[in-house]
Amino acid sequence: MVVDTRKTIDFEQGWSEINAGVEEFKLFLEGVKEKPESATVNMSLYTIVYNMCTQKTPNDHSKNLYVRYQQIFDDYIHASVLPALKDTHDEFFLRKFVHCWKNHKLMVRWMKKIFNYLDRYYVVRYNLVDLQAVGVDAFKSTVYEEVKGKARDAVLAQMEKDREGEIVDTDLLRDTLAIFQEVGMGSMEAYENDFEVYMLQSTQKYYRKCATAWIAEDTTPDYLRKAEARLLEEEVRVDKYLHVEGKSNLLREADATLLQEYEMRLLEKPDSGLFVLLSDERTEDINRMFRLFSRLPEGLEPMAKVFKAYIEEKGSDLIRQLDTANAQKSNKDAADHTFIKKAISLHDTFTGIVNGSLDSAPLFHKALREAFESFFNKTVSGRSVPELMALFADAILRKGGASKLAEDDMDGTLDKVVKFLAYISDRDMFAEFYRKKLARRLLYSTSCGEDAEKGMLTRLKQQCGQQYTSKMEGMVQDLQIAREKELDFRSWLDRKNTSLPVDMNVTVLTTGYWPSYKVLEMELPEKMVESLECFSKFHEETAKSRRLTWQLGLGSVHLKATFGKSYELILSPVQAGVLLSFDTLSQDTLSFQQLMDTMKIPQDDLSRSLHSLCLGKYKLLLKSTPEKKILTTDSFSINNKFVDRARRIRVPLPPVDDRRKVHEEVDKDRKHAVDAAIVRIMKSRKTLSHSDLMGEVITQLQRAFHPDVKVIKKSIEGLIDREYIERDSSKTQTYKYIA
Amino acid sequence: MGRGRNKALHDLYLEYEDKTAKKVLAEGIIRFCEDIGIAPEDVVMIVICWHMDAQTMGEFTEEEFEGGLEDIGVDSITSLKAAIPSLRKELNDRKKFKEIYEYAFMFSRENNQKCLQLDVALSVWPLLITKEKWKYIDLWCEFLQEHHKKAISKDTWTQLLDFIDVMDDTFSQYDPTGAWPYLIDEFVALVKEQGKIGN
Repeated sequence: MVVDTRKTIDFEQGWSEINAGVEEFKLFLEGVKEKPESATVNMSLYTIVYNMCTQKTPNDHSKNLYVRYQQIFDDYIHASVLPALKDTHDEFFLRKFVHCWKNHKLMVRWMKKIFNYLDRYYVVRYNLVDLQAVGVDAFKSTVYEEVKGKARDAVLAQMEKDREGEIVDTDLLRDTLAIFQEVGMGSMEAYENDFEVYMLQSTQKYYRKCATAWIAEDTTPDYLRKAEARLLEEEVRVDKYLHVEGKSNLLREADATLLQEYEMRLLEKPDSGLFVLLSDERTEDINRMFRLFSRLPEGLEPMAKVFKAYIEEKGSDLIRQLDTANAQKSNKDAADHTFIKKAISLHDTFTGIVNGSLDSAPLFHKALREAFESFFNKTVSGRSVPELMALFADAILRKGGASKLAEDDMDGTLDKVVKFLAYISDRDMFAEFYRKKLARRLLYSTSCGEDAEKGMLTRLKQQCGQQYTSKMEGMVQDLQIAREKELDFRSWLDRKNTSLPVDMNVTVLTTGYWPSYKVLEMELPEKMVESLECFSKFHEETAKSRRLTWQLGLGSVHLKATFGKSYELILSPVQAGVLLSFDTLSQDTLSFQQLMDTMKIPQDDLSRSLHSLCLGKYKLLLKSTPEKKILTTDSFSINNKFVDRARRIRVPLPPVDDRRKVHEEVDKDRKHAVDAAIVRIMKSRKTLSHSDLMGEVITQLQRAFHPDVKVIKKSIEGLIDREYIERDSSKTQTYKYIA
Repeated sequence: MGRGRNKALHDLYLEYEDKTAKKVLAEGIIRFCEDIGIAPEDVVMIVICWHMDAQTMGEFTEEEFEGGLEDIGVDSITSLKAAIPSLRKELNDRKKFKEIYEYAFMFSRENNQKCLQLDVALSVWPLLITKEKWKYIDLWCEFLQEHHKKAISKDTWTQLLDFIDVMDDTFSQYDPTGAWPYLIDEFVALVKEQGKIGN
């Protein structure tokens, strides 16, 4: 133990020395003295405190010193600080305020050093507020509390000036707001409650005023430009003098007032809203709108909605245009590829906008998709979109079609057509139309190439799955196999040392893959019949198990005919039969009835062929009456005066309207598909409630088409009648599978 | 012969039997009805047939005739006559009515057919389902006559009773996406559209 030989310091004595140092320091703060005390002086002051605290009781003056420590601040504040701030305002006030705080901090720091010993032992021992906190609190509970309102208002006034574009002292503002933060001593409560809340309110008020003025006078792009500029300013402002953590609050407030309030109005402004921006292709403005609305929570949803509405309108406009144009056309059946072409370009444009100005946002891709889905499920001049798509694809895949329609980008265009399949719900309809057209292309060799066909089928498979294209692939394969069979047939003829009376090529088709064709029975000239029987014999020997049926409605006959000069006519079997009848019967004129009797074909088929031979492009026959249709009372004669520039002429048949037939077939297939789906589902699940069964059926079939709820219900009832399923007797909304 | 059935019953049967067919035929049935004092189209006749479990309308086999009367608990015309009121009451018993109603479908259709011809259905329905039971019975029959014009399936027949049981007069609870048969969906839609609810 150290024997203390120091003299005991009496409190007042010690205190007066300390106080003297404090007074000196104050002079320094006032600017009267240039420099604060030297280190030596500080050291001695420190030592006094130290000694006063380490003296043995009752001379341990810790408590008193602690109290006096606080009192020094209080006295000083009341004597000098408060009065100084009292009658100042605005900017002057703020400067003084900042200055006072700076001084106060210096004072606290200096005093802490001197009184440090208290901090280490007395404060800790009795769990008291530490000296730093005492010092800050002295300022807070007096000066701060007194003037915080004035300070806040002054700052806000400066902020408004700043917003109006006037020059303000941002450093001053920063320093002022620093006070609000620092008096919190770690907590932001003071800043938030005494400043931020008011600041947000004034921000709202300010921007509300701006927005009201702008919305009335400005166009949407102008408004947005102004708003964007202001929002950027606010961000800069935060960096310059507002507290960083409050940044999101401020921006959110600004966003809400400037943007959210007026979003719908901006979108729908008559002459400058989103519709106008889109039609004028104002990509930059659209992008700005997108950027700004992305800042809002769910801010993009309304914009996407308007976007979708615009696309839908454009689509409907297109349909309306075409409907009007087609109504005025004379040949209404001629396929119109304008719709698909324009739809493709529309789609390209909008995809460009989504990817370019809308940041490829999924929300907008979805809007685009939904818009197309909605107008693709309408009809254009009586034709459904799936049909138009099939016709378009057919036109491209035909010989010479690509250059006209696809403009040298056949692959790209076909890609787009296939992608469109995603937008239609009646995918099975497209398949059926496409299949019919494909059959025609394959059978009449009008396709532009097998590779192109296969390529298209691959695309379809990728888009819609394997089952979708299985029949079509079978068709293409059939042709390949048929070619091989042809070779086999030729070598078989060689081996049998026979030759065909009339030369022919046979293409054997597998029934299941191809569209169903009505079997046409007719009387052919003897030589042709012989050739057919020859092949039938060959078939018997090689593929007995598969039944061969001749499709005389398809296929073509090459006939050499002389009308003055010689021509090669390419005709359907019926057309050929008609012309040959004149030969076989050695007649110049034949009546309709005579032809029917000779050829033994149904009336409609004969009429069609006669129509093509005397009322079509090539008038090979003359008819007895002037009417523009074939009458059963007509008679026909060879047109000896027929002449044409070409040597080789293909006489086309008037096209049959496939459309109704396709719709019927598709409906039939769908009914079967629904029945099959129900049985399949019930078999595996055994018991299922009505709504669950509905849901399952729709899910299973939706890749191909959207089954109508009524159709499913009827199907269910049919299956109940046929005893595949029954109602559960205890729960009538449930069905059971009957094994 | 009947299994130890009482002679009175058998004698009764013989009174109406057609000797060549060895069953009670239409002529016998008409007499039978006269004797017990009901019209042949009276709905209580269906109840009696149900007791007999008669398979075909217009004829009763010996088994059916005797078994039925035994089931009712009578063996003479007089006692049967007296039982008529209580037979009628059976139509008001919920459980029995359901059985009778479902039986009526099977009984009314022709033997080799799955469905019930519309005109037959339209004559049987109002008998069983009176206006007291269901206020829309006439509307229903009218609807079928004008819009359906085809035979009635068993499912539709049975589900109609459920429908009547469960549904309130304004069809407010009706769920067209539910499991009700298609015909009933159409009926409700038409009635609502024509504003005939509450009529």
